[in-house]
Formats: sequence, C-alpha cells, structure tokens
Amino acid sequence: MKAPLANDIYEPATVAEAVDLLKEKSDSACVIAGGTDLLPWLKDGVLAPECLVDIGGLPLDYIKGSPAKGLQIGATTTMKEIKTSTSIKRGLPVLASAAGQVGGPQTQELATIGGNLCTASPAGNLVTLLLALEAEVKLQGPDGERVVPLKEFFRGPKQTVLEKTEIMIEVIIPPLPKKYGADYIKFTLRREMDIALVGVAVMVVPDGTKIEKIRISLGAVGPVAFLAEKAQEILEGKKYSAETIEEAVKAARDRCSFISDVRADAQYRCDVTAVLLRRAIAKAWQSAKGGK
Amino acid sequence: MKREIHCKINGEKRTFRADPCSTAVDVLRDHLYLTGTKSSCETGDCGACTILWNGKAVNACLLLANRMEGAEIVTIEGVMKRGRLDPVQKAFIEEDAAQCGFCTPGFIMRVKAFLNENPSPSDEEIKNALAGNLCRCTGYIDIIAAVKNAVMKLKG
Repeated sequence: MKAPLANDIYEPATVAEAVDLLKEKSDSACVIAGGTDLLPWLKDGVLAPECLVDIGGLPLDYIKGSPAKGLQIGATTTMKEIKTSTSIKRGLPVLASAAGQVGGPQTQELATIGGNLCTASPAGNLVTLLLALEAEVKLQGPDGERVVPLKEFFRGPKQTVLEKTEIMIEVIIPPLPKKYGADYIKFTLRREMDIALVGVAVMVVPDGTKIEKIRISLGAVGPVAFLAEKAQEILEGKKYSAETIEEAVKAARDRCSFISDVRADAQYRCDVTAVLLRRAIAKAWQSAKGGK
Repeated sequence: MKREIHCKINGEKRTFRADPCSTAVDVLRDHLYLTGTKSSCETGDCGACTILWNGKAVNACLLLANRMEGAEIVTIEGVMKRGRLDPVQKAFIEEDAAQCGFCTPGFIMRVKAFLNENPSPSDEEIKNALAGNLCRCTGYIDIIAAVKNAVMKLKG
C-alpha cells in the first residue's frame, strides 16, 4: 500500500471552522477542494504539508444570481456544475465552455472554480476567462472577509495574494450588459486533456459600429494571465475595423513573454497568439451583434 | 492515522479501517482487494482508475479515502448484476472493444455514467465523453462502436 499523502485530514463544517484550523496550522496545512491539482503535487512531493483541510463539505457549492444581474459562484462549485448550469449556458455560455475544457470529464466532476484560481496557473481556463469578465474573488480569513479584483489576485506563476490563513469562498462576476459578446479560445496541442499553449478571452460591448468596451485577457503567454490594457485602450471608443484590431493585436503581443520549451517554440506561440486574438475578437463581436 | 470508514460499495454496506489520506484507488485495490479498478498514471490523466462515486465518474487516484465516507461507490466488480452482464459489458464483448483489457474497467465505468446522463448521444458527444480515458491498444474505433451498441441495447 502506498504511503498516505499527509498525516491528517480535517473536514470543517463551516468556513469559520476552516479558517480557525488554518490559523492554528497555517504553515503545516494545505487546503483541498477538488484535489485535481493538489493530489499530483502531493504525490510528486512538490508540496508536503503535514495535514490537509478538506473544504469539500463547506456550503460553497452554489451558483447564485444571473449573468444579467451578476453571478456569485461558490468557490467549491465544480467545473461540471458550471458547464451544465442552465442559467450559465443561457446567459454566459463562454463560461460553461471554458469549464467544459478543463481536463476531461472525470476531472470536471471534482475540479472547482476556486481551485483553478488558487492554483493560479497562467494557463488556467477560468483564470484567463474570468479576468476578461472582470471577476472579483471573496476571501475569508481570521480578520474577516475581503474582496479582491481578480486582476490583483495573481502575483506570479502559481502565486496569489491568498494568505495561508485564508480560503477563497466566492467568485463574483459583475452584471453583463445585454448586448455583450464574449469568446474564449484555448489552443492546445492535443484535442482534449491538455493545458492551454495559448489562451485568449475577449469580452466586448458594442455601441452600434463602435467598440464601447473591450476586455482582452491572455493566458499561458506570460508568468501570469493578464489583461492587455494597451490593446483595450487602442480599441475602446473606435469603430470596429481590421486596421484598429491589427494595432491592438500588435500591442497585446508586445506584452507577452513567449517561451520556447518542449511543447513549442516562442515564435510559434507568438504566431498563434495573433491568430487567436483576431479570431476571439471577431467571434466576441459577432456574438454581441447576433446570436450568442 | 487510520480511521473507520463507512460506505456502500457495489450495493453492499462496508466498514473498514483505512488512512483517510490514502487515495481511494489504493484503498480499493490494496486494502479491499477490489483489483478490477486499475492504477496507472496516478495523476488523473488516463482514466484507468475510473469509479462511480455518488453516481459520478471520477478518477479514484484523485479521490482521498476520507471522501469515501458515506459515499455510494460502484467499481467494475459491481457492474454485473446477479450473474448477468450489464448491457455496456455485453456491447464491449460484441464489438471486440478490449485487447489487453487494462483500460476496459475504466471505460466501462465512464460509459455507464455517461449513458445515464445522455442516453442518446451524438458521435461527437461520445468522443468528447471518452476524453478522460486512454487506450494504448485498440485505437478507440471498437470502443466507440461499443458505446453505440450499448446505446441501442439500453433503448431497446
């Protein structure tokens, strides 16, 4: 029988209990929700906590509100639940699609939205998309609750501002204007079960033929996923046109740090990023103008 | 530190002592001798360890034993009922969908969960549903045929 992955595991029944446990054990405890990222790290020795705090039993598995009025998604809501939620499929289908591309079907039954954000891989599907949707995260610790805009949540690859004594309890997606359009493209080498080689998310609000508001998020092309603010500035207030989009694509690419590794070289990633940006902007615009 | 775990496995109430920080696949195989569930990649990539956990097809290598408490678990050993093969098992046999058979329990558990949710899948939906199960032998064609065969059996 293989060795157990920690010495002890606690199953707090309330968020307050969970926070108390983390306050007591902080340096020697790891929080587990879905476990789909954590367990491979425990098996590899990347993390070796003395004990685990299992938050799977906390009442953080919910989808409240609506895309139009604003969504509050509990941190332990699974990818499967998001992918199959009627209100999300109807009003925010890009989120259902992104959740449905995390790992494979078995992964999605366990993996949680909070876990994707706290793992903070720059390639994370929901990491990338939720930045473009201007999400915020609610954290709870011994000093109480705080809400952090997602774009301030990531400090570096797999590093966040979450304290060791805090847990993420909710993801907040602000209300989306009626005429919004959005797209998320995850470019992978394999058809399924793969991490994004490049990830692009776009949310756009048109005003006739002009771009009233646009958010462009890039994943897997830098140490953290980020919003391409210069590109957004180039596009906002302007007429939707190929020239302006090209200018924005160039600005977005300039912000990326493309690496060469066993999966692809930097030039390839750079080329793919431009293609995905053009496609995602076009699809988001199209979806705003026509059907979703 | 071990604790007593109470759950239902393959329709039977079971109580046993196990370390809650062991994985469910290790407990099922090494402690309960239910070796039909296979341990392969141990990272949730191959699906060979797929079991039904409260009706959901999950990788048992990513489930800690503490999550077995109070759960209803079905492994490949629990698929045959009263000596009769399940329609999914019959379909796999009819379509020659196993060569070495190592991936087969994982596929069958996944297919059972999938067809419970989606009894009339399209070809595309079938392929997507099997994304979490790898087979090194067959090239998947016969496995996909087995799923379609099972769909017909479950309808008729």
